[in-house]
Amino acid sequence: MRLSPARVSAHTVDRLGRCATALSTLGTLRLTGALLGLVFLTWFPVVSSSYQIDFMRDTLLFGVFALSLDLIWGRMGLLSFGQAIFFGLGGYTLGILATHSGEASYLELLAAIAVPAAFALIAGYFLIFGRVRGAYFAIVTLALSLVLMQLAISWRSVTGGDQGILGVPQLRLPLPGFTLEFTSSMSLYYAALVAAVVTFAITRFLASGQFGLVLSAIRDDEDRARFFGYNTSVYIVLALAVSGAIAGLAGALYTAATTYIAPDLLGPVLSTEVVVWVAVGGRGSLLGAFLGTLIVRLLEEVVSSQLIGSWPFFIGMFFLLMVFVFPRGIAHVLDGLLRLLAGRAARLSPKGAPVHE
Amino acid sequence: VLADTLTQVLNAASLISLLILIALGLGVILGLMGVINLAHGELVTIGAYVLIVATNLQLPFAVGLIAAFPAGALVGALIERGMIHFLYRRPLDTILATYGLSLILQQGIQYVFGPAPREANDPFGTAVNVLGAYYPTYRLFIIACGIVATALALYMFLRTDFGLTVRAIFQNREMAAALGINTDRMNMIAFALGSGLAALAGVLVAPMVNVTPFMGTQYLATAFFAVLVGGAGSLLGVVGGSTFIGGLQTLIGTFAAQTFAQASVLGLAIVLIRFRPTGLFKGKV
Repeated sequence: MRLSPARVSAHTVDRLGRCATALSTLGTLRLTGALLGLVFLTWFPVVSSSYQIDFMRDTLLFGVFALSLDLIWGRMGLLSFGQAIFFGLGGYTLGILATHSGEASYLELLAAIAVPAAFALIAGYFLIFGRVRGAYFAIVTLALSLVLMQLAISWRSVTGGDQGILGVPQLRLPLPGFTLEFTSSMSLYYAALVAAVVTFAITRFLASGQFGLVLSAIRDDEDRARFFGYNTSVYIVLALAVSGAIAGLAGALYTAATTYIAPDLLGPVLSTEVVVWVAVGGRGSLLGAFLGTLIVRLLEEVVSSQLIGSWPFFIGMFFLLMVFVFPRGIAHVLDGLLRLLAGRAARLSPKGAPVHE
Repeated sequence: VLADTLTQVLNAASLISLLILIALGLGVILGLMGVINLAHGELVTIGAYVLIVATNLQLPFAVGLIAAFPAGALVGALIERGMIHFLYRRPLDTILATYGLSLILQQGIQYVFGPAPREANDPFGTAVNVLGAYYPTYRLFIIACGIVATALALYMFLRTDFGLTVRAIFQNREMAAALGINTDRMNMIAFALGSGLAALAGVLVAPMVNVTPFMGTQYLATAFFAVLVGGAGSLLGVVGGSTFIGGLQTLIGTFAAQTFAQASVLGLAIVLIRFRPTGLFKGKV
């Protein structure tokens, strides 16, 4: 049975109907904005210092990481408070394998995607089929993240303990005829950009198709989706695995780029920071995941240089703000501006936020 | 060998006592309001710093012990009125907001007391001979406190009007409200009491560990699993869950590193949830 929009929820249909007229213009504007952003990002390293290039590269990779959370939290409504588990597992898998084999190539990269995905499948099986949802899922994943970080600290022989693994070999991808070497700042930046575009396209494809429709249905009302014959638990676990794979890729590339991986990249701090990135960008808006990451990281640069050690306080404030002040994030504000540009603002209800919802 | 075993059992008992104190508040708040308070760990920290302040003022241990409960209860009541109160029926937002609050509290405590670990003195500083094993008096005192607090909580829950009211809300909030119970006020009281217990646990644990602004997180995670394994919203569940988690952690900790013990307990708890989603000890009380 296919899920028609009418079955998702009356609410969604109502919105879709209201927005249909404005949709084409808005969609075009959004696409234009995204393309302009892409042109800017492609051109960015030409005019920037190597520090700025590295900053932007990390932001892109963390943006991919935020995207992985946005898929399950924004689209499916399941908040993982331990998303760094997947990022860190990807990084550690690549780091450990590459250090042993002496090179980071296809095999290592694939493993770094497969291990977190497998972890997501296994943990997801026990938790999701054990009917752990909502707040409980958030806490259990947070605790998992904490415990895995402590394991990484104490399991010195494999993970390098507190220090982590330093001097991870950089990525070399042999192609017929030549080899792609990711050693320079520039090449690493473009690798991150390509990863961002590819994962965005994949997520976008998943979120807009049949699969994505079921995820939205689960977010709106899981029981209802189940009544229509969907095995929602299977969908949730699959979405978790995809999310784990994407986060693992981000972690692996981050490790290959910075040549190190440390326990805090598995831990609660990164796990909760990514929640802020997604929330600031706007839950459910896939481009917003990147925007939020950029904005918060820029702010972190400023704050950390002015008030050393006070960043966690600001993260705490962000959490309060996202609950009490701006639950819908930047993407919502930008959409409002775009709609004004489209000249259709008056026709839309003030609450209408099409497509991304 | 007997002495070693006995020491381990006592170690487990003192850990379980602390866990129960922390998990009781967490479990009652969860059962009563469906709220998971991620700042609950910071109430443990606040309790520990109450003792540090008392020590700095040259006051005896007992003053810190007595002051912690009202201090924690006051902070708890403020949190409930100022934040949780606006977030009922929004469990995910409560998680986000209380997590933010816990970060802010940690930073606040660090701002006031500094990041360096503090130490509180063991008020007894002696060991007693328990069937051939020398065991710190203080840990026995913790076990006694745990037993007394649990007995008091159970008594309150089962034998007083207050407990009856709480149980009524546990079962059916709307019906309880319809019968004239001021559920709003009960929320605040329960939150304050649970917070007070966490602060009490903080005072008790302080002489045995390094007191830092971030010490609460660890206890929160373990206590939460005790609640989850035991079954939310049941006092006996909390006690059973704490015993299970604390006992297992001590047991595994005797032949493996503490972090491995913690990880395996967590892993086991996750597997258990799959097969017993409502908890191991889900009972009527």
